[in-house]
Amino acid sequence: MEMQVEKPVFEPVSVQRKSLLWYKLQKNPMTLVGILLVTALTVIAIFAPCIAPSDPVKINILDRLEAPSVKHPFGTDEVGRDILTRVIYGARLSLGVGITAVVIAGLIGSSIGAVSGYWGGTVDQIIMRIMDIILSFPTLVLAMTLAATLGPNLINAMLAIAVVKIPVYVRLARSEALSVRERLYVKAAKTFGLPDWYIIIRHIIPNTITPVIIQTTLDLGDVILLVATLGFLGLGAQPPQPEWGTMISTGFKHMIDQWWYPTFPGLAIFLAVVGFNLLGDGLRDILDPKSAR
Amino acid sequence: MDRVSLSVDRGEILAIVGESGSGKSVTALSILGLLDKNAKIEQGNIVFDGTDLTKLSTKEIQKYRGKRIGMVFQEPMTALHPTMRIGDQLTNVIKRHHKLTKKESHPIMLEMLKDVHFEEPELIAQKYPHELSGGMRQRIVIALAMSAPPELLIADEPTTALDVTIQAEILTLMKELTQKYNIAVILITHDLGVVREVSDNVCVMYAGKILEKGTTKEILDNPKHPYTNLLLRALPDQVNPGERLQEIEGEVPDLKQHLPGCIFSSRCPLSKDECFIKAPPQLSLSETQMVHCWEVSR
Amino acid sequence: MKRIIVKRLSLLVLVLFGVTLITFVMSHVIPGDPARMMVGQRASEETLQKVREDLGLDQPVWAQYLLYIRGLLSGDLGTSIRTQQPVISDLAAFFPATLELALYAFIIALLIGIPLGVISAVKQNTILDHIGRVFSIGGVSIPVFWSGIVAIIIFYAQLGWLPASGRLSIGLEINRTITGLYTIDSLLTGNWKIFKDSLWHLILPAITLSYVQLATITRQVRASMLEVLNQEYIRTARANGIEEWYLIIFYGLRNALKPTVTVVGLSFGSLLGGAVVTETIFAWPGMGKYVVDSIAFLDFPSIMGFTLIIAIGYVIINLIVDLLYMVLDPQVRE
Repeated sequence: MEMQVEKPVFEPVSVQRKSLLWYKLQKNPMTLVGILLVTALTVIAIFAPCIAPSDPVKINILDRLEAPSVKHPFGTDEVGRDILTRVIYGARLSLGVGITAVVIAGLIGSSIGAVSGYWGGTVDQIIMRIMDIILSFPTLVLAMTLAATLGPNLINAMLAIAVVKIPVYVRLARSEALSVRERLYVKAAKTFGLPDWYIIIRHIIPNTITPVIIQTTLDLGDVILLVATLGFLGLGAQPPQPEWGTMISTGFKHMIDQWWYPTFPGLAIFLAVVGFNLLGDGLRDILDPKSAR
Repeated sequence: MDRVSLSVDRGEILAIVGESGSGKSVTALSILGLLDKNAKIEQGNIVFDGTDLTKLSTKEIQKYRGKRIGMVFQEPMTALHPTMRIGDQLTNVIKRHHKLTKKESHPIMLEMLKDVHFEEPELIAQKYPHELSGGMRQRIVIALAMSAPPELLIADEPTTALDVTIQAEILTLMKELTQKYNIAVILITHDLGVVREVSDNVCVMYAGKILEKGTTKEILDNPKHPYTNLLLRALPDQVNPGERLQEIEGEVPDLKQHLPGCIFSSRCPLSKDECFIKAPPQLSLSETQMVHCWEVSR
Repeated sequence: MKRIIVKRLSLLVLVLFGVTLITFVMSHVIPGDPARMMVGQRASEETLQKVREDLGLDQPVWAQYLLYIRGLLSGDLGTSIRTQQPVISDLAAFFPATLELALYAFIIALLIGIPLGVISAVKQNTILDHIGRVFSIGGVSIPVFWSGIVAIIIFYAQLGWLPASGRLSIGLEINRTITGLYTIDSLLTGNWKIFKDSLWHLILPAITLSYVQLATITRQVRASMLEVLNQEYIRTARANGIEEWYLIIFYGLRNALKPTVTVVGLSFGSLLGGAVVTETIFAWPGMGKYVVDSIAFLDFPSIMGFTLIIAIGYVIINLIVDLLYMVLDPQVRE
């Protein structure tokens, strides 16, 4: 029998990927809905001052707690601010804080993970046990406690959320680093006597970037939800900041007679989070063929 | 596959021989409606004992599964439920076929295990599949398929995944049980060595068509079709040590393509012009042996 | 199996050490002076010093940690600034309410989530499946505090069908608590009126709280059912004449539950977090409401006590889940 050598893979992968991506997107309309929602959210956040009908913090006590009308489609709050305007500006806060928190967690987490995985040994063991400990708290409870300890404001809430999200990235980057460490070019680099920090920056980190970026997209929905929850509990943004969770917290007191007050900011949170979750689900389906069924 | 009719008597084994990729397994699965949802039988029919199985509803085909037609699969490692004890898997099937309670099925289950050569059935019944070897698992799969016992048993490459030393043991067991339970068996295989070991009759198929059939002796000693000849020459024991094994060049043609001539013409070393143009005639060589080939008719 | 249990238990000890360390560190980096907080601004320097000594604040940090641990072991979580009661007895008083709420939410999540996931998988890509998927995406995306508010607006404010706050109607009282779970206590004492009323009050908060976990369970069951139903052993069983419903439940679901069990364990994290929010919305007198009230007072001993208890509970739940996993999978058992 003859030996056969398999054709080495030199196919134009990018072209194939692209058409496959389109095919998968078409097969999964939910992902498209997600993309649409996320795009809309981003546009609203960027162009908030142009879109919003009025000022988010300007008090107009005469118009307080008005029901939805043509002038105020989402009604007004207890000091007469237009709720629609505040919801639009809220997109800025939620998206801004959410992205910052995820980026902080991603940067810190993946650096720790890369170093931990590359060095291995005792350092790695200690770091991973610390991560186990952080993970043994329910996310919200730990974020709550951290935010309370640091002092209730939006920046601290963001930091608290970043901390609770770090272990995810540590684990991700670590497993990536573990496999990259064994590659020939890394071993070769070591035999040339290149310093560890150089190998980590040059080889380990670049390899971990793609999975980390994907994970940040998956996490954004969850993080936006956490920001809003901390805001609702009084541990995040403080009034009069137009943050969705904080608005609901005040609106909660008015829910029986002014249903619109808590309802519209909540709807905004829901749509934003659904958008990111659908997008994340779709991404996972497209990138991980095993779970694509 | 287009029109293939097979007949097997009870207590006999009919081997269907053909190389891998010729659609044997898919056909076997489609008989009991076991294909995936996305693979559907587009046309054609499978008639068993006067009933077209492809026309039956899921509920009706249910009456055939295991009870009238049993199946043994190629891969014993994955064919058993990984977290259910052997005994439970067997009684689950037995109590359905014999309409018994779980307790009443127990002695039958032990009997079945004895039939497939387990000396200590009580012990085996308590085990999980991962505690058994491949050969032992295949014996369990056979016991499951025979538990009704069905009228017809289809065994799809039952020994391919097993060690050579175990293959003979499984084949002997199948032959023994075929006679004991008086079952008609269709054995699907690519291995003529297996055929020689157990089967009574052989049917050589290629790309969904029968090229030659006859008794095992006829086919092995006096093969007429070029394809059968090539298959025989591809057997390892047909060549001397050091010599190269014979291979058949080319690939099995796409089943969907409709070829006007002989289906094997594209790979046949003896093919002439007429082979490509017109389907070959059916020639009876004896009471039992039959072949489709222009070369033989010349 | 024994080895795994021992390994898990030693991990538990390690995690407990870490958890206490974290809560200890956090309660010591709090800006401000806990002693000053306790005695108030007008107390004399002498009293302040005495309180400091009482609290062990004059000792080195490691000694303080040891003191803290010794206190924990004897059940001392400190004294609440807000209620002036020992934190442990506060938490003990509020625990049954949280347990009852979480328990019902969990039961609802299981009873609806598993069948929904199975149906979604079996009827993959049909309209039923699509509805199920939208429903479960909603569950992981909806803010619990908002779904609670919407539920109150609809079922209490607009329709007036269900109560929206507390465990019992005003005027009703439970005279004898045995377990602290009102539905169970009232059954044990045969008090039907209380039983009905407490169940009535549970409906909205329990459903609100269950939604997140319900969605997680549905998604996981669907995914693992799809995987399992494509396995060859399912095909073998089908070929052997096992009927479809039996196959799905006893051959398929049984194995699909293995990964689900792990996910359910982890989803208790969101259940416990969700309880904090749900209790706030529905004025449910549990540990969650207690901690939110404490946060408003910056009552750190209570917050830390709560965090510690929840973390320990969460770790223990996941230990139980691991053991359950072993029961389900004979291959892990050895």
